[in-house]
Amino acid sequence: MTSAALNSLANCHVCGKLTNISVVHCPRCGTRLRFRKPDSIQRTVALVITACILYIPANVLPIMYTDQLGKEYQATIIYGVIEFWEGGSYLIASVIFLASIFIPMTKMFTLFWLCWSVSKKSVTKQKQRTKIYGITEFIGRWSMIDVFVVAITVALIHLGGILTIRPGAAALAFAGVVIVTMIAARSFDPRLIWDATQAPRKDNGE
Amino acid sequence: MTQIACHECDLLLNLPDIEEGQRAYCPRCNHMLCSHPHDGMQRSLAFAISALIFLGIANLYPFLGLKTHGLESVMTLIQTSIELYKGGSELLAVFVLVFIIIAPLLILLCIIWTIGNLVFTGKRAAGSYGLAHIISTVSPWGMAEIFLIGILVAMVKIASLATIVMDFSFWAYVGFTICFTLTMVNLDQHYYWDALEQARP
Repeated sequence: MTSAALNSLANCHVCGKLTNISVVHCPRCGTRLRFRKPDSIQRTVALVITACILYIPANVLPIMYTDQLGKEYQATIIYGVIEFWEGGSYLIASVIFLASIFIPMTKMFTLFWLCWSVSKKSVTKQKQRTKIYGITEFIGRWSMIDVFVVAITVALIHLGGILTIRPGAAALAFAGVVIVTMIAARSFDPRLIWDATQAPRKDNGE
Repeated sequence: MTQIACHECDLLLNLPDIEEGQRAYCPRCNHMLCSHPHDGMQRSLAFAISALIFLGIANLYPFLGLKTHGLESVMTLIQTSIELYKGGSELLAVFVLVFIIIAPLLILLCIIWTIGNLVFTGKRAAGSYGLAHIISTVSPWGMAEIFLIGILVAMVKIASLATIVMDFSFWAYVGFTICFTLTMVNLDQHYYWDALEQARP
């Protein structure tokens, strides 16, 4: 059980070809070879903090405005969930709760925790942490559901003065949260979880 | 046997030649190293062409309609983005357009060009490596299947106010989503890059 990096071999992060680091550029696709994603922990933490900040306007500001017979109503993300729940649409309420509240919060927390566990060189539960990372990376894009619900509702309901729905600022902020956490997940390098068990490398591939 | 390193844990290992329908998993972290779908390349190409046709049709006809108290409103697929733009969310409109049309379209064109050339001429077309890079970079941003779930949620939301009519383009987009998903499932990155490398330029 030895890592490629300890044998001076690096996986090209674009095409996956295994090559000796001394070659510098991937012989297949020409990408600069690195052992690990550059500044993985710093970038991931910075992006997750950005997402946390964006998450505040996403929840405080209205996601949709409804103009009905001259009156204006506002709705936030959490209000949408409560409305569905009280209206008896438990499944839809659960889907929006999962996609808009549970997944983004869990994802931000998980990425922080993964970065923290890597920075303290933890050697426990490596397999589980790699699995959790995989799930986090896979599931993050599903949070975009609520943004699409806004887009469809806005496009479909424009009945002049009787009923019109307009997008709110929270929709953009929430799309920002999803986009930034997706980039954060991609900038985290799960191989760092396994590096803790091995002798430190002589060169970080930069 | 090919020497590879696990993408998730960097374990150095020898990948045996796996047969069609089999998958290889990392013995240390259980990450899937590669799969070998039956006729993966040909199927991926076929589904990509079908998906492209469906996407074209989805943009030509009405997408969804709404009927209530004698009032009617009809929307097209592209209006999902346009109405956001008109509503003052310009940046969001661009994001939505990228997620539901541009990103999947770009991926499909790259797949059809690179694999089409491999299958029909046996050669690696000019720029294939760059296009293969685009496919892996852009693929997380193609969100057709998520958009469909979003439509279902929006329908339930609106159903209490009005009757929703699912028009021709809606079903074309469903077909597109299915074909697009199958295109990606049949495209294994490991075999795809190896096939590009082994072909003559």
